[in-house]
Amino acid sequence: MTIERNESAFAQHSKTFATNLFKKYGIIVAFILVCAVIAILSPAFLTGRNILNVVKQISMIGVVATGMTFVILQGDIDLSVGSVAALAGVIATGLTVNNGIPLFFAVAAALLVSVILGISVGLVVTKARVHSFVVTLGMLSVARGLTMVYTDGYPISGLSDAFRFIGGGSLWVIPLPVIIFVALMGIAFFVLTKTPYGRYVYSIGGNTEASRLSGINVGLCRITSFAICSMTAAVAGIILASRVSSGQPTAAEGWELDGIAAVVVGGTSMSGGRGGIVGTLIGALFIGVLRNGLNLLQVSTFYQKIFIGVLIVLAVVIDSARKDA
Amino acid sequence: MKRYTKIVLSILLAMTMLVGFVGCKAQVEEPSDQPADSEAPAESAEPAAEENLTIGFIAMNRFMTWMQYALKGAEEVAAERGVELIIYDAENKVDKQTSLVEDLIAQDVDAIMTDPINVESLTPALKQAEEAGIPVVTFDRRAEGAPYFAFVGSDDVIGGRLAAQYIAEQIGGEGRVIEIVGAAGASPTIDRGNGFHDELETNYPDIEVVYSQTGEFTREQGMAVMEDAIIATGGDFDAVFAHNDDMMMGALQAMKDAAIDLDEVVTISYDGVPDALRAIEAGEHDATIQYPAGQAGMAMNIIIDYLEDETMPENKDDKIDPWVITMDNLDTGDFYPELSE
Repeated sequence: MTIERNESAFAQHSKTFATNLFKKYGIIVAFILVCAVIAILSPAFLTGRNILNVVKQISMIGVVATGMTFVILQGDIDLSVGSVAALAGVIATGLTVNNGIPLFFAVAAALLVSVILGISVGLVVTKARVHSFVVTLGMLSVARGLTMVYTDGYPISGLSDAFRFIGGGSLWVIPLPVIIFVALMGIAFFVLTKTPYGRYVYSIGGNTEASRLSGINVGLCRITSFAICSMTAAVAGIILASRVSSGQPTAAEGWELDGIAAVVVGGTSMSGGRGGIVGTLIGALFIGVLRNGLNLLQVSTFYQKIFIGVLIVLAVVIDSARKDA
Repeated sequence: MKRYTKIVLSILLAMTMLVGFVGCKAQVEEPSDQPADSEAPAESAEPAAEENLTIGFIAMNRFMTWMQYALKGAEEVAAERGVELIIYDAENKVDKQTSLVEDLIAQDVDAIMTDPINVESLTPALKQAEEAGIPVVTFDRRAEGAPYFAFVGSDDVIGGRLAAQYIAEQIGGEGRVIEIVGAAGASPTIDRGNGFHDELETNYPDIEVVYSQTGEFTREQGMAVMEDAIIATGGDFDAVFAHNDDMMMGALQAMKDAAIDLDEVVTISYDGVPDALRAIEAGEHDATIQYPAGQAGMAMNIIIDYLEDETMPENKDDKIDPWVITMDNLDTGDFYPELSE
């Protein structure tokens, strides 16, 4: 009798563990399902080259979504990431091509500018108490305008080989954008789960007032998150500039929606306090695989847009139903 | 149990939609699809035919009118010669165009045909294609500093000059001109603009370009630019040159809304798409310059010739000359047959 009880206890424990994992990341099921269907319908999907392509292509949105995770976790939103990415791209390319500044410093300058913009957003949100939606909407416009002013509307070309290596090179067989993406995700995961600041972000998203009352410097934390988000956007923008070997003032339009989609599909709640980097990774992979799969299946762009929109919403519905169950 | 049912139903719905859309797409697909070619790898055992060639076609933007008609031309050639076309749309996004080239390389197509959005933006992707041994033929827009097999275009510089000459003749060698510029960084914009300005500066110094802004090659932007131009010039201008027909259609609407008498203004645009021809026929628009639609079909023939028996093109870069279309020679337009439909 004792043995039977022990066995059933173990079986129960495994079942609970699996159910908990599934509950937390129900999106994994949807992801595996989509992969399976596409793999069946298109033989090119599971080739090494294609998988490498997909991961390479989602690297930029993935980097953006990594920073966006911080902002959404704390209950805010950042609509300016596309414009900031483009601005960083043209500044980095402009400084190297037009002013002959070494790559390292040009990139550093671009990142610095993006951090300044992020801090500005954070200041307005916390001090003037304006909703981040509005402030970052304004920054979307301002940053795009700055990009146009800086380039006079024309793309900047003539990048050095070193610059092109960022988006086009590989270390061993792994493309550099993927390495950057994974590294940033790793750092973000560490920060969000192992540092006090990470805990504060969750706390602020869960209940801002309670966080303030328990002594957390809510303002400073929120500003930091916006700065991080803008900085990751800048990194993604520089990778993009390298991939198309030019600084494009019109680049990265719509990235904010892709970034937010990746975060939300990954299970991070829009109201803040729930979710994390692992979810964002799955979300980015989900959307990337979907796009790649639809391309391989030659679904026309016109249908693709409808389809991706529906599937993203469906994925979140499935996920939240799982959580409530 | 209720929750489980909901989830399972959602998942089933998703799968059904996925398969449904794939089936839907297969029915909408062009007639050039060979029946045996759908999912089976390698060539099918068709008796007298060579192996089925697959060419990846990346349109830089299917929402652009000229592109839709050029694509039709390419599809017709492909269908005639029994080649399968994979058609992608880069939606005017440079990173999407790069990703699409990578996707085609992964599918191991026999050749790629595309028009690079900007002169440099596709270079890294084209280098990847070269490394993979896939020939790339470009049309419409050229790529600079990138490897490609052949290019078929049109001399937009000549077209720009023709536009300047037409305006000069119509307004008597002096006057004020509004220029609606194309998308920055695109080779047609650069060349048409250069030809236009060069011709004016060299031969018609009394004609002044009083307003010049980009309309991004779209109708909405063209309309917005024209509205601003009307206000900025106080309505005092003699001619309008738009780098493409789409923008001009928007501009014509803007002028009508502002109650400007179109008979008093000389208008000329570029491309020669059916809407422009109709506007010329109706007397609203004065002229357009034909951007030869044959480029796409010609490029398609060049690459198929090479794939079939390694025939090299006569010239690596081929240019078809543009010409002016007015009410008198409407039927010389490439898209004139579309008007009767």
